[in-house]
Amino acid sequence: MLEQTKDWDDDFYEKWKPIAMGFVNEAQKCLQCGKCTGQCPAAAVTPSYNPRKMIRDLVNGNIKRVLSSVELWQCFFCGGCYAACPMDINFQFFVFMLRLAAMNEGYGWEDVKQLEGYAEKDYLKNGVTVSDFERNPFVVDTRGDISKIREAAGLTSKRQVSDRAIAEINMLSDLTGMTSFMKKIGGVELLDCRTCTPEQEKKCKHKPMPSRVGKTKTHLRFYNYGEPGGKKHAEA
Amino acid sequence: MPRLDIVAQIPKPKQIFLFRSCVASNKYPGTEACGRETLQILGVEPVESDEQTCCGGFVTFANVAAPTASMPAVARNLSLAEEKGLDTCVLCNGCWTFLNEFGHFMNHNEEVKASVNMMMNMMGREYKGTSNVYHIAEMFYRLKDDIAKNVKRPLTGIKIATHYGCHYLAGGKYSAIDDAQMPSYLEELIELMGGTVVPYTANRECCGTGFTQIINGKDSSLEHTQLKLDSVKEADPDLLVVQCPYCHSQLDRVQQQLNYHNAGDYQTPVIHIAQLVGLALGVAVPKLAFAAHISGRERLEKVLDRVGR
Repeated sequence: MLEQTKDWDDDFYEKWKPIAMGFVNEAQKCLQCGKCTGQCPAAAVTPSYNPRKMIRDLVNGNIKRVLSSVELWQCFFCGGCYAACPMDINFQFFVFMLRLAAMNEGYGWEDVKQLEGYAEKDYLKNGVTVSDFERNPFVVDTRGDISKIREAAGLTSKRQVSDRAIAEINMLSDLTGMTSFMKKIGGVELLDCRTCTPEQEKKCKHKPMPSRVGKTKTHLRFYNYGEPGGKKHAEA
Repeated sequence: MPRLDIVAQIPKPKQIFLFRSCVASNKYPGTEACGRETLQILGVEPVESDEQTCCGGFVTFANVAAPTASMPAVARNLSLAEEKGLDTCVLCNGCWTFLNEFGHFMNHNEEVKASVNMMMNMMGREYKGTSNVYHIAEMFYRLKDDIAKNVKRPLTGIKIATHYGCHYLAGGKYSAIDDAQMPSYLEELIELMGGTVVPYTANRECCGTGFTQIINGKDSSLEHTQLKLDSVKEADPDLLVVQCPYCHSQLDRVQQQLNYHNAGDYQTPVIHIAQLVGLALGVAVPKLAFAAHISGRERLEKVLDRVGR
């Protein structure tokens, strides 16, 4: 991405701190020691992902570089950076809030769109996010019938969540604005690998990006922190 | 070395609210059944409720909901335990971090707590913040004397490797019972039950699920899991013990996926710590629910033959 002077915002970090509800703080204490990057599982497979550089850019105000990067979306949320940090900077929450900020600027919607279905069709419908439906095509044949295994183990054949509980989380979702946010995201169909058609496979491999989400125009992301590396890119 | 001062603060209750986990219920039911059985054997009565939903962690970290949207859901789940006057015991690292972290956040921000309670009151509930959240592995470590007394099937000669999972130790840097870099309480539990601990290089590495990376960044997720599994294969344990159903699902299922791609022959059975303790305490074999496991089933059966069915 070509950088311009106006992309820099010296006050961004200070302005943003209060909006981020206490999840983002103490970044100014960063020593730039790089322990976070040294132990990072995402950096181990994609060398361009670098938490240290992202904290530096956030504090220095080069916010556009962080928000428009592909790297922002490669975090594993393992929290190892927080565990290793001598200054107790909780970087995984930074990523979490920075992703929301990036979505506001129109970046990363093709990723979030893939995930909306889990909230709408599993969490808000059944009260559990991971259902007994198997989405991994490689294990469908080997795995047993879960409801029978559950009965043999002395449990009910299906995990029970009462209707009242489901109604309550839906109500909370409406009250907190999660439902309207989800409507804005839109979401894509959750594909079943067992009944996959070539058309679906194409869709699955090339994630369709919405041109506009609400009033926000969406953009492509960039590798802003150098060569991505990793197996996939090494072969290409 | 476990932090004994934090361990000493864990009570030994008569009853505890057992928080069900999505993955443990729907992919590995043995974890849920064993959690219930083992707590009963150790003299703690588990109390469950159908009113309890998923913790909402996945939805939040997938950026489908802002943290403000998932905090009331956390408060609702914790208020169920508070109604009964009990502490909460979770089976999953994700549930532990999410309930603990957001519970802590609400307890220390009066304004947030007040606005959450405004929504809670609309449905006749109240969040007070009195229920402490404990991981089942913490409870086992607290009750290790009772475990030592009740061992029915000693794990003599079984080689066991451990995987702690990131969201317990790394996410809970100050609230977990052990050090984030060099933990040892699972090893202590295994030796207590007669097993042999096998060290391997990538012990502290992430399993590779990476919350949403399993859906959006499949390449990097698989690549990292393969790094981990290569190291496990080198040490060649009979069992790999995890304490998080999500790590369980990733490490177990990806082995099959890599075998399918001819990336190597991975056959290491993965089991949850609740199942391992259940195995040692003599829980009936169908309740261990090994039928739901994918990789290394033959080796798992051999382990069962060696410890006795």
